[in-house]
Amino acid sequence: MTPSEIERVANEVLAGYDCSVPPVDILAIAKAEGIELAPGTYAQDFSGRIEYHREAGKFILFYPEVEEARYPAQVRFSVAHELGHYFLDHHRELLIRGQAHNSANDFICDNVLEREADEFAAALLIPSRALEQKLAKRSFMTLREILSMSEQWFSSATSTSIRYAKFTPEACVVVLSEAHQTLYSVSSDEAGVIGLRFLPKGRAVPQRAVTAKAGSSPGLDIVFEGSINSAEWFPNRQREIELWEESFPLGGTGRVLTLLSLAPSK
Amino acid sequence: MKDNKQERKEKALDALMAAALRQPEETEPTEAEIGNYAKTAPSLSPEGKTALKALGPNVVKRLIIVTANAREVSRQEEVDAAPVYAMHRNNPSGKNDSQTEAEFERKRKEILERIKKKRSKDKK
Repeated sequence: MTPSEIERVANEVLAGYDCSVPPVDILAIAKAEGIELAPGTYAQDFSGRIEYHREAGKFILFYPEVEEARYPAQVRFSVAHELGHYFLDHHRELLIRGQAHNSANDFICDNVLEREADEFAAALLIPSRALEQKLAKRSFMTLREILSMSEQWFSSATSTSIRYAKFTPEACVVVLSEAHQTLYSVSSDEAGVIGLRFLPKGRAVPQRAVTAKAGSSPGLDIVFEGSINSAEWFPNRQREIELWEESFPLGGTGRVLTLLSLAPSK
Repeated sequence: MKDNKQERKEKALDALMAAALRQPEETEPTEAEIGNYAKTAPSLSPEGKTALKALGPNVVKRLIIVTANAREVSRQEEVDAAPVYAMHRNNPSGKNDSQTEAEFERKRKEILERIKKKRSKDKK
């Protein structure tokens, strides 16, 4: 399934339950669908699971108690991800056939299905319509504003930033790094057009970047910011331009979320 | 505001890119049609020629190569970016410890028994 098809399914669900204004009550959606909810005390690394029980004709959704979770936004994302396995037709067929239950690992390790469920979760928690409305007022947002939006919408900072990059007409790149090395990056369409596109996994974070400072300050609840030459992050780009870099240490995870955008003209 | 020279340079580049990316039409023009068009087509101004020259040799060829590389990069990026959203999953293997498995079992039993009871009550 293409991301836009997944987006369409998520939008249909949101419209069907009249909840396109975030924060989206995903547990209410699950309940309304007749899914049995099973919040519980699971191990810390457990995020979520959905099973179909033929004899009862019911789906059961297991997830950690949101109130007790260290990162509630992550639990919400996991629940929305499991709902992706329920709402996306070919995922549900697999669940009903018992594949998720009997060979859970195979199902979980199928990257295509997992990725589709992730796309669905992001589209459900950060609805395109709401995001478009935000961006209609002002086409760009600062990292602080994105973080504030993720708090208001009870969505994770990472997924909210990625969704922002996908929808904004401005040139920006969202970078996730860990231990001073890039993990992943997502560029907005406009950034791709001007050559700020590809940051390979494992590239060292530039020493002069504020991301390096943020990476050395885990748990610090502040946004580091400063200007940086594009050559530091994108050495292969022909023309050098000034970028504005904002970085935020993601709690105590050791990861840093960075937003690179064009520096404001002087 | 961009100066005229820069603007012309960008326009020339845009035109070249459009030409490089343009898909062949179902009916290709004949040599005669191209000849007729060439007679009436406006020629490049001296500034335009300078801008074109500044782009160096084999511009179209280079543009095509860049486009092909960009596609390659984009595919690579797609592969690398795949687990981005999955950062919430601390346990990508999907294997659960005994505590979690025991909690699954307890919850399953509880829910399935409740459903069973409710159904038998509804039947009565």
